[in-house]
Amino acid sequence: MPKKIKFESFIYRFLIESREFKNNFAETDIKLFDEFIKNINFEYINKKVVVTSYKDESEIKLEIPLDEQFFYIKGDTEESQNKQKKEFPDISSDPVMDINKDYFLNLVKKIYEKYLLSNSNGNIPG
Amino acid sequence: MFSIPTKFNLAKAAVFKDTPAYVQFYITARCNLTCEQCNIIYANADVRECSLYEINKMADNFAKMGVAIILLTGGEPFARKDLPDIIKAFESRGVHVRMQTNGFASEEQIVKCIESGGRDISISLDSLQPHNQDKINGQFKDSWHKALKSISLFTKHLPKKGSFASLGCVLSKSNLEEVKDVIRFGTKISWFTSLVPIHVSNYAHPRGFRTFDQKMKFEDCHFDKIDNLIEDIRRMRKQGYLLYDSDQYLDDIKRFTKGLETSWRSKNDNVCDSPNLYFAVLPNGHFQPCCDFRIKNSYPTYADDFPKKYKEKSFRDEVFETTSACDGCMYGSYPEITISLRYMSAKIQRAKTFFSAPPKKNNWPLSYEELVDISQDILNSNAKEN
Repeated sequence: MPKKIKFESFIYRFLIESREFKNNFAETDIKLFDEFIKNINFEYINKKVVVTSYKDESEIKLEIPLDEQFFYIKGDTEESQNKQKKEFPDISSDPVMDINKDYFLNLVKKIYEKYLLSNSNGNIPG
Repeated sequence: MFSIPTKFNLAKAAVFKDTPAYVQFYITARCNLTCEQCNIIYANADVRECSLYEINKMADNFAKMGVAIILLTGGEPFARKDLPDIIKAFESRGVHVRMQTNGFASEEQIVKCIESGGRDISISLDSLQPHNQDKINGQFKDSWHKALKSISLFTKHLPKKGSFASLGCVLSKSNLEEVKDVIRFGTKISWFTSLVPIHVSNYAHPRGFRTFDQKMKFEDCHFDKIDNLIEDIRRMRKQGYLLYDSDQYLDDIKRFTKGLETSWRSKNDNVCDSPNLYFAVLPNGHFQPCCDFRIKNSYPTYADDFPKKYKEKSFRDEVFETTSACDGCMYGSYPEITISLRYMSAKIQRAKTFFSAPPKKNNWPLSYEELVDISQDILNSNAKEN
């Protein structure tokens, strides 16, 4: 079966921002975070991504709709350029990339917080 | 095949090792296929596509910087409606364009791109078995036939003199037994073949181009087969088959597939030559060292100050932080450029490829039906031998 393009894009961007998250938060327990990524699983169910990670006996799950991200923003015609300018305020040379970056960093943080909370000794970073 | 400015810039890169001879421009992440070995269409999905106006500014900068060759890749580059204008932007400024496609291009698009100055094409072909190619391409029906139709159109419209055509073949478990047939096919139709071994990574180490699919990884039971294949195709090249890859690159394929360190970066302390000899550009026009990694800060290559930034120490340090931490790749062009510009034997081999014995292309144009027959003949002769 052909791969789900938005789903695969979600997985890659989530993992890339997970690395950013790991690098930028000094208080993060790196070993624990590596465990979190090692045990992570992504599923495509009803146009949503179900992110699951496992810690000891507990299962941490979050459903994310696949229409919240901005993927494959065209720029090859005048029409698509106008659409870009209308939808994304000109705050940087690529506002789309910046919005996605913030979105995925927040998402990683949110899921990791859930993961940490499933352990009474966990520290919530950030 | 190359114009005088391109040859001059290549020579400059070979002598000084600080001219970006080659740039890979990922002009779009959109693609009509979801090939099992490819991750780049997902990795580059998060950025906007830049405009033709920005691409013209980028072309100004690259001409100033001495870029010799630009690869327009994707996704599927022909998914961008303004591809002929993009080709013109670079060719008109003396930057040689290499086009890529998986067979998506229509005849009208191909004609327009050639009229815009495109004379160099690479088409993905991993197998002569239609059902296997369709499986590799993500179970898309008729993708093999579409690739052959595109090949036929390029043999019809590309000029016989001054053009270059090649097949890009990814070496994987799915086609180990079929690579020699692809090279035979390419040679019959005067197209070179170049090989790239599959790259696999995992969730802990996401890399732009590498699939996460662990089932695609070569295992111990494949290593002898790969070694034998490499020696066979090396012999084939000596017999006149059109294989583009250098001896050192072929040896490195053997090492890479076993997880061993490759040799091509050894003259530069095991660091590649990005950004000195090559670099990549995202669909939004921003610099990245290669297809696998981005750097922390954004550097739009179309910005007026990019040529100046490119030479600044802080920029170089930032790139080096990434390239020096990389454990290496075998993505065809980067290794081959380093090998060609740093090793004399490869330089001689490459010069022979382009200057002394270019393929004659006497049988061009080739119809789609003729291409299917050639492919079938190769498969039939194999069946007889076995």
